[in-house]
Amino acid sequence: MQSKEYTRLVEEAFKARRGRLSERIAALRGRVPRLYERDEVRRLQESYAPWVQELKAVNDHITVGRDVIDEAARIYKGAGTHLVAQLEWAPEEIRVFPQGSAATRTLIRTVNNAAFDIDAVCAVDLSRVDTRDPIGFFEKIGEALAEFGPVAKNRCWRLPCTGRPFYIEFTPSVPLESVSLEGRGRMGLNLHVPEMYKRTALAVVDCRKEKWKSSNPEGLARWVSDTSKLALVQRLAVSAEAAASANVGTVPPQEVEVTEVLPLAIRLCKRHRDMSVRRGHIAEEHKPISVILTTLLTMCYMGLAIRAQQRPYDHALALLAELIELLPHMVERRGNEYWVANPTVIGENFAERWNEDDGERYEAFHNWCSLLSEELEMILEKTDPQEIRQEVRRVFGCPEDTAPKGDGNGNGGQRKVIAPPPAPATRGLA
Amino acid sequence: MDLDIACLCADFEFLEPLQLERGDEGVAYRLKLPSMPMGRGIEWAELRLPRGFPSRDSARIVLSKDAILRIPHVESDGKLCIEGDPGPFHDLSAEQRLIYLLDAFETCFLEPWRRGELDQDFNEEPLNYWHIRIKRERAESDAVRKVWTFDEPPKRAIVRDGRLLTGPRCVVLGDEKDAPVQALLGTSAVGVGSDRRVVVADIPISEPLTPLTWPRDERDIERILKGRLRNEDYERFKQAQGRRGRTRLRIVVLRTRTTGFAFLMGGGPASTLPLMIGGVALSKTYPAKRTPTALSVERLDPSWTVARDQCEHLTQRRDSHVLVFGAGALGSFVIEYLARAGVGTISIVDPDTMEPANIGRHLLGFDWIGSNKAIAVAHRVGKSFPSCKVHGLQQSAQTWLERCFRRSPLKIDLVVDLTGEVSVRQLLDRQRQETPWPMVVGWMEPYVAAAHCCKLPSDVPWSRKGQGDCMERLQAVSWPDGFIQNEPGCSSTFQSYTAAAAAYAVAMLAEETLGCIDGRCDAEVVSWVRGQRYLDQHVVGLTLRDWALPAGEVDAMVIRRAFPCP
Repeated sequence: MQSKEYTRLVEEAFKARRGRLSERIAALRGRVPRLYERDEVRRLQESYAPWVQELKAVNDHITVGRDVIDEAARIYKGAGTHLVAQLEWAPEEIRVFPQGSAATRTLIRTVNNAAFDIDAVCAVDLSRVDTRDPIGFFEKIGEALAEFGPVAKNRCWRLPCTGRPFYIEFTPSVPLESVSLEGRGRMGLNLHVPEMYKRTALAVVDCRKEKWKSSNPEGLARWVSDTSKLALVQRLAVSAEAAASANVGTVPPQEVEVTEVLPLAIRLCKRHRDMSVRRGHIAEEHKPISVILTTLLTMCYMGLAIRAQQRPYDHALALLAELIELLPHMVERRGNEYWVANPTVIGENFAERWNEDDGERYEAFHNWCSLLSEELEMILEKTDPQEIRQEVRRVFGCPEDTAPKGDGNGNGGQRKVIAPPPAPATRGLA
Repeated sequence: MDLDIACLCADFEFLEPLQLERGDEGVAYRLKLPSMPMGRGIEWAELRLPRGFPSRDSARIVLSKDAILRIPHVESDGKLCIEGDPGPFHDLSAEQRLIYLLDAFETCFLEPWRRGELDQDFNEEPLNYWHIRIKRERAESDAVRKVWTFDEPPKRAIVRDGRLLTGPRCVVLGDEKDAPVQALLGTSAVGVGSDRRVVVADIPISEPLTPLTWPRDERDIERILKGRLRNEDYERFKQAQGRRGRTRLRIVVLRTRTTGFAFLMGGGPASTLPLMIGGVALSKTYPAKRTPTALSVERLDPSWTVARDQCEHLTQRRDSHVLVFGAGALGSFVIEYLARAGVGTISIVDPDTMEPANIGRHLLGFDWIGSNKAIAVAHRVGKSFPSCKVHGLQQSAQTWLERCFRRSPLKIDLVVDLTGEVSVRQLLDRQRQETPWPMVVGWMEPYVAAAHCCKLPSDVPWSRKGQGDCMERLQAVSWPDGFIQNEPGCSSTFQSYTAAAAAYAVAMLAEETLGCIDGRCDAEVVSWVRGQRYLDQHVVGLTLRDWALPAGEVDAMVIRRAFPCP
């Protein structure tokens, strides 16, 4: 889909939106002390500061630490090296790199600190793959990874990573570029890949359907990353993204400044969705999946770009509110079907399951969008910084600030504590 | 109390030496709290020594009210629930116990709380915190106290009818066609009183709610209802009107498979509750509260009541139909154990009536004298365990087979013969040639010196051709003649033993029978054999047969032998 299509969708979304969030933002602009009337930048910073500060705190809380990301990268790189050794392939015949939220800098912590998944792809040279036997290829990778304790899922092998806060989902694939058109036909891959994402397109194995399936995780990550660099906010400072240099890709840094609105919006939406499931507002099985949120927000961001060229947003918060308000209206209707098109694989609908469940998922998505807007409105209505702080933390499920280790006033460890004998492992049952 | 508080203060700088009176609660010492990150402050904390400390009671740490439901491990009265004072029954001085408590307060609570390490701990005991909330919101005049659920959460959020039992003020949520629900609605055991219909929004959730995630007020509940209910259900719940246009009580239930949380919504009809004034029963009407009230949810579904969610075979058991011949001292208890273990249907066949001489060893007591055993056991077990359908038939095995079964054959998964009658075993063996039922044959030897459970898969007969009934050959003791006594004035025989001795046999038989229902029905005979000491206590000179000799040296032994035995 071209960017003008996104612009069209955004224009329609503007017509359909309720507009209450943007009204709140407008009201905030109006609540500026006269003293700063001539100093626009400072005026806006002062005006938005209490909310920005708290949203940053949320962002900091949900951010997965760099050390964790690096550790995960070491493990999946190790899995790649292990595969090469086990299968006696040449190192250049395999490439391992992150995908999903690990690649788009939108990885977030789980609500209850449960293990989260970090996705990695291993792209294997076509000469090593019998394209007539996708399941054989999938299982061969699993067998070679035996010592990692892999568990088969539909398209990937889950490596448990015991004792760590994450597990790795390792997806075997074949670069589509190396497969001839005739070969693609044999593999049942009738989807087309836009020219600009051809280099990164892959075929992965769909175990349930026992066939190949097109995918383009690297392309999607690039699309999100490229889009997020578009400057939609006045004086927006966009940091340059570190280019992947090694054959085994590195996970980009996960810390997102509030000025980087798109990754921030994706993270906040994902967190709010997770909290909504925990609170019972949406059913777990109907929650909007991350790739849909990422795609819709990126489409919306891109669609806003032309408008923003003429009239850029005065602050990241205003853009964030706009994205959230337009989000529910970015889902396309094609005939009777809901569509969230993968921009890197033509014909792939991320919302395919929305058309198979009597509208349950779509309805859950809409309800969740309304709830998010409503709660943001409520936050923006608050004026007392303490209330803003409490409400933002409650809405996004963030705990209070913490003290660093070892700064307590106690003198524990120096006194003689006599412990009672330990309780028996099991009580007498009665 | 002679306590060296100065010494403790030297060890714990945060302990203040000034003693404070706390009335009936004893005395207290304030704990000076360190600077806390924003939002983590606690108004005050104190070390509380009850009047019975140290001889009878334990010391506790108590936190100010602002900590309740904001900080994990704080009980409804502010007491901190951490590993603390080991109590008076260890060989520790009062000072040593307080050192232990204060050290735990600092290292296991205060510092971890400041560092955010306890933030997830609400998830460990979600219902504990829910009950604190219930206690806060409950009023004497509440029309509803709790919700009893008889089924699993629905797949998707729905609005359904519930029945309020005005006696216990409980809402019953379950299919009224199900036996357990019918049994409860028809019983007087829980003081049912009259019942009335209420409307319930039954909403499945994926994780238990905690103080950080539960709905705080009506607006939060409203959001859940709007987000989860279909429009028509949402409107039906909002209006909540009965047939004559009267408003109904509205209940919201949020539940996972294992835990539940409920609210009585504000508004609705007034509640009329019984009131006793000067020994006269009156009633008083209270207007409905405007705000929602938290309610507890108790599970009465078989997975919980039978096995606390820990039985992997429950579905199989619930689908099973077990036919038991004999509801005597062995059968009556085995039947009860099968019902307790979740067996779905039990049919009992026994022509006998309860006699005074049965009472000491039978499940039924004095009040059942003169009743047919099968019918009475079915009545009692069915009432106590309504998830099990129990049918009692006052018939001999022969009559049942010839009249009932021949006319309308039933699906039977296991036959259990607990009659001890050779004629019944022969009849069943013959019937099993036509209808290959798996079968369990159970019996006891005199004094319950041994008990046996012979498990026969459907293709294994009890008797082999030309060898006659094999029961005697399977026994552990060669009994001399004259052990079995005749009842005075009739042809019945008996041998005295205690219910306590029979309990071993019952347990073994019930366990093995359940094993068969669960799919473990190898052809074998399992025997509970008492040791030589037990035999000698009853009759000197009794000896165990060779196969049972290993039990002679010990008090008792369970011995398994393949069937047919060599």
